Amino acid sequence: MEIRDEIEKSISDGPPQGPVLDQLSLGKAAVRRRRLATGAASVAVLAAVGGSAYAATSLGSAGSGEHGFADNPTSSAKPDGTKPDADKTAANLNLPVDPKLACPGGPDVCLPAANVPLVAYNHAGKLVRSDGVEVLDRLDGKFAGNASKSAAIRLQAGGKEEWLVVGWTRKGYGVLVGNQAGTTFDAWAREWEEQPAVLDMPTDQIPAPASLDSAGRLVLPSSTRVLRVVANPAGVTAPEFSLGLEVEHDGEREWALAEEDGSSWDPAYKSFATLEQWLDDMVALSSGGETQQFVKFGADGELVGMPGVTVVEQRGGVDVGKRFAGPEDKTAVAKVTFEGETWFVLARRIGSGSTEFFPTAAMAGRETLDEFLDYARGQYAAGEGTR
Amino acid sequence: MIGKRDDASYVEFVTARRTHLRRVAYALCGDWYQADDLVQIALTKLYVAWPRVHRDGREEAYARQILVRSNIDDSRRPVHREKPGLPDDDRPGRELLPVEERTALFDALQELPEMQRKAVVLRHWLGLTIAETAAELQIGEGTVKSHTSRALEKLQEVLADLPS
Repeated sequence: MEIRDEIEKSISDGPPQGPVLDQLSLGKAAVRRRRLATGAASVAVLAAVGGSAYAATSLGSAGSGEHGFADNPTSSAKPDGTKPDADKTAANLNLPVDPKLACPGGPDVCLPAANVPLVAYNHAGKLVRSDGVEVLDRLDGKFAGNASKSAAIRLQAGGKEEWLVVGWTRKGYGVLVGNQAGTTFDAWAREWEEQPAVLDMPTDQIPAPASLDSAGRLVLPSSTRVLRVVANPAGVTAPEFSLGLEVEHDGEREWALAEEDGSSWDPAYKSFATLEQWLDDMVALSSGGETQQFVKFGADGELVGMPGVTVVEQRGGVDVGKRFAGPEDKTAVAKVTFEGETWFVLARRIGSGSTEFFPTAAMAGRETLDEFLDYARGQYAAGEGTR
Repeated sequence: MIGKRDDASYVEFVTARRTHLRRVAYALCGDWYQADDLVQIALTKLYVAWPRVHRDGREEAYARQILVRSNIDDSRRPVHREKPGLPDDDRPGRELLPVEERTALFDALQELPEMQRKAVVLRHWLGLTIAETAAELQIGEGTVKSHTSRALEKLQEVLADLPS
């Protein structure tokens, strides 16, 4: 018997499960929390440095030497079990300025001022600050549940005092926090230290190649290199924020849209020819706006071009796989031109639902309808889809 | 800036696929409690990402990736850390689930090192290709081959010992 059958046979459906609506309410609560977190805080943070040398740095080991972060003790507790003390020595507070916080892709690839991190662990493994930031207090401890090291920072920037928690994990992820009225910085930091799981970071769940913290400042995993920046592609006004990026992430080129409620990202050139086209589509998706569709079904069931769009070729009833549509569903594909560029558009209507359109830019390797359909079948078979 | 949420389609997906995802989680962690926790986390995250993931047709792949990429062995430690994303989960205490009679093969699967177990579940139970398994586990294709080869060797030993 096949091993697949044996495994299948060895796993039952398990004990009874709770109602599905419980799951829906948990999902809704998670969305609410996310909104509350972004609305209440004035900050957050951090990230950087990856690599096995740093991954081996354990909690509680202050260490020394090149990879030991001697200038940045990270112990969650002293050997006698007491909480760490604030280190307010000049050397510890005088963080070096790292211009890459403002210009992560080099001198020509800089962030809008509102998106520049105030402090972060840089790629050399040190806490660094942006120009104009003055660190007033620093507490090293275990403020974030699964961070290998973290610190609470009180700083002044632009005439405003802010309290942050910066954290670092092997994945290089950030944590959010904010000022709280009616307490002291030390007391506020200790509160986080006593409940570090609150700031736990999702180390394993599909890390975004770039995101913005609750104050709109860029958070980058260690494996991300910024190549391009597009300021505020969503066109929102403060206190909302958005940032478009082209990055190299784990060796792959990706496009990312970072917004206050999370990030979206795709492999670059997957469906669009330019970062700007992709951002326009993602902004429309995330805001519930209309996305580019190029065509619509005419009265005779044929696809017709929207204003300015020329339908070059089309086919009805295309088979792109069961993940795209079933045999009873209405499907079509068209090759169109618009403003000098060539696109393919997949259309589907599942049952009696509304018609959906999925545009994909033509590019090398998918220039004919057949080439595009081969690509689309592969994308849907892999569970990825075309956008 | 959250897109319109289609709760009906989410509920439809959860209704249709939750049992399957739960079995995947159970195969990965070997414990129905943890499987339920994993699935709950995965489906909660899925809801948050639903507008984008649903439009992309990646619902199942997204949920499965969360399950697979969760640090199962870490969650097996006696003291669980609080699950990210669910800090105010105040569900009432759970009653003990009935003890299940486990097969020798399932036990052998659970005794495999984590990545071998994940690789064999994805490749040889769920039927993903080597490339898909590599992408899902974020490891090289060669590593997938070596993991599954070693894992199958151990599982075949167990199967050979079973009465036919």
